[in-house]
Amino acid sequence: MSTRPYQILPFRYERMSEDAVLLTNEAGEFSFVAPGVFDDLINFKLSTDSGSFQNLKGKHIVTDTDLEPVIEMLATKYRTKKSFLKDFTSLHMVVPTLKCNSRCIYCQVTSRPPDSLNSSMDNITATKTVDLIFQSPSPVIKIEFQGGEPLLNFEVIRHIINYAEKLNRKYNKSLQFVVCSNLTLLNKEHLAFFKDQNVFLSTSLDGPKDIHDKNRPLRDGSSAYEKLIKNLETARSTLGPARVSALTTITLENLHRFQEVIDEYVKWGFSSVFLRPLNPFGLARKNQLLGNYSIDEFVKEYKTALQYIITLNQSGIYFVEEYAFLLLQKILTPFATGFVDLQSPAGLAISSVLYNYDGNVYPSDEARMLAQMGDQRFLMGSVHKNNFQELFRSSDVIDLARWSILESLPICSSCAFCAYCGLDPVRNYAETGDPVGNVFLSESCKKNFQIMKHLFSLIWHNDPKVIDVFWAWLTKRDLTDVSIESNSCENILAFQ
Amino acid sequence: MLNYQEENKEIALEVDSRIYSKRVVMESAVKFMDKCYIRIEAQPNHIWRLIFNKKEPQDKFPSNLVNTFQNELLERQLRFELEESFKEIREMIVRQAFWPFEPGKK
Repeated sequence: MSTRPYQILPFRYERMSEDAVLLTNEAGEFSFVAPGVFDDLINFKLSTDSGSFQNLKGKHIVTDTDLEPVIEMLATKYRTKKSFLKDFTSLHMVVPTLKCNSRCIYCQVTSRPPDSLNSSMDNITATKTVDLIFQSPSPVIKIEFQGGEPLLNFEVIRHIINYAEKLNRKYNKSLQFVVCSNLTLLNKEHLAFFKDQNVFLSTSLDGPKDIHDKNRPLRDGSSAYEKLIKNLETARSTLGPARVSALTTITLENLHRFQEVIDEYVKWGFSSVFLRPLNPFGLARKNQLLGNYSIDEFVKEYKTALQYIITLNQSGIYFVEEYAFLLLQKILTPFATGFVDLQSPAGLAISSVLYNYDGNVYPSDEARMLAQMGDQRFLMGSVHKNNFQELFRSSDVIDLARWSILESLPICSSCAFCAYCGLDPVRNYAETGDPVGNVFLSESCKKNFQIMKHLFSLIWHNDPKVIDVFWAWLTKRDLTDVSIESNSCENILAFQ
Repeated sequence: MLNYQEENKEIALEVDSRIYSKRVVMESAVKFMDKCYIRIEAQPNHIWRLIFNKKEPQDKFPSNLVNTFQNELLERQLRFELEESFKEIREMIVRQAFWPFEPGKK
């Protein structure tokens, strides 16, 4: 070791305010220090006897001992964070049909009317798709049916699930099925099968009736909201509430009404909401919805909504904002989350993949949406023409991974939030024409950066009432149980 | 120290390349690309010259552009020097994490 009193280990930093500098390391461990302490640290003037030094040493940002055991420890933690790489593709999205009875104003796949021809998967394509799915080495397989409206091709859903269960007697994987549906066509036959096969349902609820019907009108002019709510109640009573979840998409209709959206979710018994802005695909782009609000506006409303949700929790209503939850998992636990949009490298093909109704295979739903818009740039191949090796070990898939390794990209590689973030080359390409582009100027970066900075600011301010709510989310415990332990940020950091 | 001139359409900055590396100057400039068009020229006597142009004639330059850019240069240079000081350790961590896989080997 040199004559310096300590060795600085790799870290990144962000000046949070005049009072605090956030330091983060490769494994996602973090520490807040005063600006004066930061200056002393980087100039090797920090006393090794000081509390600040000991705290930083505990977070593997400095060491005054042998380097080798510290590197081993950090390597182990880093490997844990990247554990999503080990098992390869676990999420397999299948599009049984592009037909849909809805005409959502932001439809990202440009769905087709229910009577359109040549828009649905046949049984031969379905069988080949399942054969390919089971070649993934992942011990966990989640098959998620997307659309269009998948229930318009229920027979293929049934065929795929039955065939997958049959194959799984040989492969013995952990198998899960999800159907993403507007629920307006749900009937007793569907529910009986879903109950029998332990299928989960995911739907969309954009807010109260006026918002939902404006965002997601049905082609026949009837109220999508009324049919959704009616079938939602039936689905919950048949399958159980835990097997029905919902997402919301933010347009100008609900951007300034987040509290009403959240109240709607609480009213219908949901325990979480995922507040997500529009993606630059399909009708969202064609109908010029993207320019209706800026990411800055979205983040401003998001922060207000998050505070409202925290207040709900404090009043005894357990309710989670899913995006914040995912980020808090990455910040406050040593584990990977499996959320493919926040990974380095991105989950494209290596964590999730999509099989279209015609047998074409894409590395993500966004790549499929791009193809629907006429751009086949990210087509991987076809279940009819290509085997598993040809699809998943292609140079195209390797390129997608290479373009999305944040640790190797300018600006991202020195960003304090690098260990928690991710980028989508397909989305970058849709926005800028380049799979990498100027990441810093992308809408995704602006959103992620601002929200992460906000969450870290909440952690830094260490209000026990807020931290207790985060702790309750992370441990899936009741807030009263968590509060009894008088948790504060110190305990959160100890848990980390 | 930065020298700068401001005329109607452009601001020209001069940066000493003995203090700020090329990578630092470029990364700093990239962060202003949404606000301005930027041209970088190598000049004699260890000078990088950056010319900031308005994107539209009626636009105004961001307030305090020069001072903000100067601070960005400082932060970027600090980050760069820190990275240089521990990049070998970072590589050792990643190499150890993925051992026995080595880059470039099948």
